[in-house]
Amino acid sequence: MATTRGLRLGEAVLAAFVLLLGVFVAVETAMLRTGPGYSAVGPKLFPWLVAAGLLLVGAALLYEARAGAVAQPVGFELDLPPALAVTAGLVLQMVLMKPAGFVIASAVLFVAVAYAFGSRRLALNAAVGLVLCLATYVAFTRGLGLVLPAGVLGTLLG
Amino acid sequence: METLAALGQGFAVALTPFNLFWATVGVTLGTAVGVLPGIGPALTVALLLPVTFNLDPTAAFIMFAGIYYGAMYGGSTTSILLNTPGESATIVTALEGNLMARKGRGGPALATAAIGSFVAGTIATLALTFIAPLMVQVALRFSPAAYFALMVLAFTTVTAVLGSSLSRGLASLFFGLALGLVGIDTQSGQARFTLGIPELLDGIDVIVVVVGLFAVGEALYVASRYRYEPEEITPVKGSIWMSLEDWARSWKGWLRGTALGFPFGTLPAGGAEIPTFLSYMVEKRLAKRPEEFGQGAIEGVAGPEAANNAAAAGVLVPLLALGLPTSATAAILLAAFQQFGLQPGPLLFATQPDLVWGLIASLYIGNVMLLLLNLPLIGLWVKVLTIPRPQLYAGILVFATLGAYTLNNNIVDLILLYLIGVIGFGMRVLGVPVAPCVIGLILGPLAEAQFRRALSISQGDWTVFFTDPLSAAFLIIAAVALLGPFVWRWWGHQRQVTSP
Repeated sequence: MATTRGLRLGEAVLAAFVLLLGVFVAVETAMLRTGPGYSAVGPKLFPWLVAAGLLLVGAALLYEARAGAVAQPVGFELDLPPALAVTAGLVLQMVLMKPAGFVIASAVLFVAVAYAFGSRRLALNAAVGLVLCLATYVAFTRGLGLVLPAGVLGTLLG
Repeated sequence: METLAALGQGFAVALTPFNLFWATVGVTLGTAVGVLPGIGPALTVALLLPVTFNLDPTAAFIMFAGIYYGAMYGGSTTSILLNTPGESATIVTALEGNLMARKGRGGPALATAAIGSFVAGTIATLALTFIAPLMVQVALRFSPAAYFALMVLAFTTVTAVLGSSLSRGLASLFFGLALGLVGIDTQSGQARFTLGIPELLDGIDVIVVVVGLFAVGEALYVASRYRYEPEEITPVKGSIWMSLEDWARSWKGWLRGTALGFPFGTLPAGGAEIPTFLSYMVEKRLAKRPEEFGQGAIEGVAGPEAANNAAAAGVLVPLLALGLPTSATAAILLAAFQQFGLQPGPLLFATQPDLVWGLIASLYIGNVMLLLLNLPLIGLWVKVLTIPRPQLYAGILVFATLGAYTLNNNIVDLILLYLIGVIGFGMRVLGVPVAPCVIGLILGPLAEAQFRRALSISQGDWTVFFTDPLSAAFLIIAAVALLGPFVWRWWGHQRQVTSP
């Protein structure tokens, strides 16, 4: 359940993220080794400006997190488990992509996302997912000439 | 007039069977994907990008034009029939449109949206045809300083006008600018922010960011809200044709909507929300039966829909003539151009007239196709809407990952996709607007290039941005856009304090 305090915390996190990003950009920029003979308009100038902007905005956000308006109305509900299920599906797909191939990895993603949205018919989703991913694979590799990892089914698909 | 001659040549290009085929594919795919809830035109173009990778540029862009316009049509269908439209520009259409649908007047609502979109699209494309070359003439006189100032103006109007809080908009913008810094700096050959990862040397692709923010982030958000936001589809009952009275009430709205939408589309104000809202208010003010607004008034659909489509055409004017994207969708189109090694702007008109005018000509053709396609096929599009959400979002994510992966065939793009998706989820929850990020990402490197060019021409003299008249003008307008609301509020407060 997202309370006002939770949302303010979220905004403080946002502010912290922006500030950290600003610090990161500044540090990385300072560590850049530029060649000899560069005037003020070298590759460091713009990054400095962006870092400055990030730090300023981060500070403003921090101020707003304490005093400003909250992003969502009171009683805003967020269900984290489905979002985590989607993330898990994405990570699994990424891990399985090269070894198992596009078709299997994406079918796994398909089932995971459908599960996250409440569909518990795993067998049906697996079947639909496989067919969809297979059709997509064939359409994009044979029809449009793109390259997708074939993986385990590579020998079957030729 | 040479514009008409060029347009004629464009038609000759667009009307070849090969290009007509791709135009048809474009409008069909665009409408089909645009109908899907939660997928706006920006994401539609981004998701369908892989389909064009191996096409020649002219055919690819003709297809993009079809997708772009098709997505707008598809989005209208969704906003009328579904009570939770995903796209902000179509929220206004949903106001009266969904109410009309519930009263059994869904057919006329869809019809007025489709015909209004056609009228607006055609008129706006005509305006585009004549204004774009004029803009090109003006743009040829821009110095790098002026270009840079113009981009700063685009940055400020996109952040200041959209979204609830300026600091959130700026956070989004600077995040996009920071992402744009990753990669090899073209002017010095220096690698920046690559953290030792070789795949990052080419920078972070706009497509990955857009698909991450719009598809993955949106999917995460909807997944987490699924239990709390049930969707209802209102079926289309009865005839889809409009009565004479409907026509009489709609046609002025179409014209007024077009007049409002086109200018706003050309300005870097971030998209079509403003003109559609304005059109709604104008129609309400001028309607013969204003009490019908809030019950399902057809003028409330006709005007905003026309405004929406006219703005979509308007967005193409600065994109083609100056290479300046004024909305997230325009940013994707720009990225698509860059993918083919092309940079839209005055040079493109000169070096590739067939491509540019073929694109513009096929906008007209696409408009006609969409009108013919949409009304009879409405049953098909409604079926698309009934795809169950779990499988729908699963399929969307499969395509999203396909799109990201096939850009460069490496896993790093997928990792970036997920990371940005999670960030996009956070942005959605915390009310941070997404468009400034996309515009910052794609314009940042261009702005930096112009900035450094201007400074090296002036040999390090910073005042060049203020002595060049165009540059100074743009910067002043930018400052007004940024600080205007604060000054306004402060002044209003002062007046309140001093009067008893």
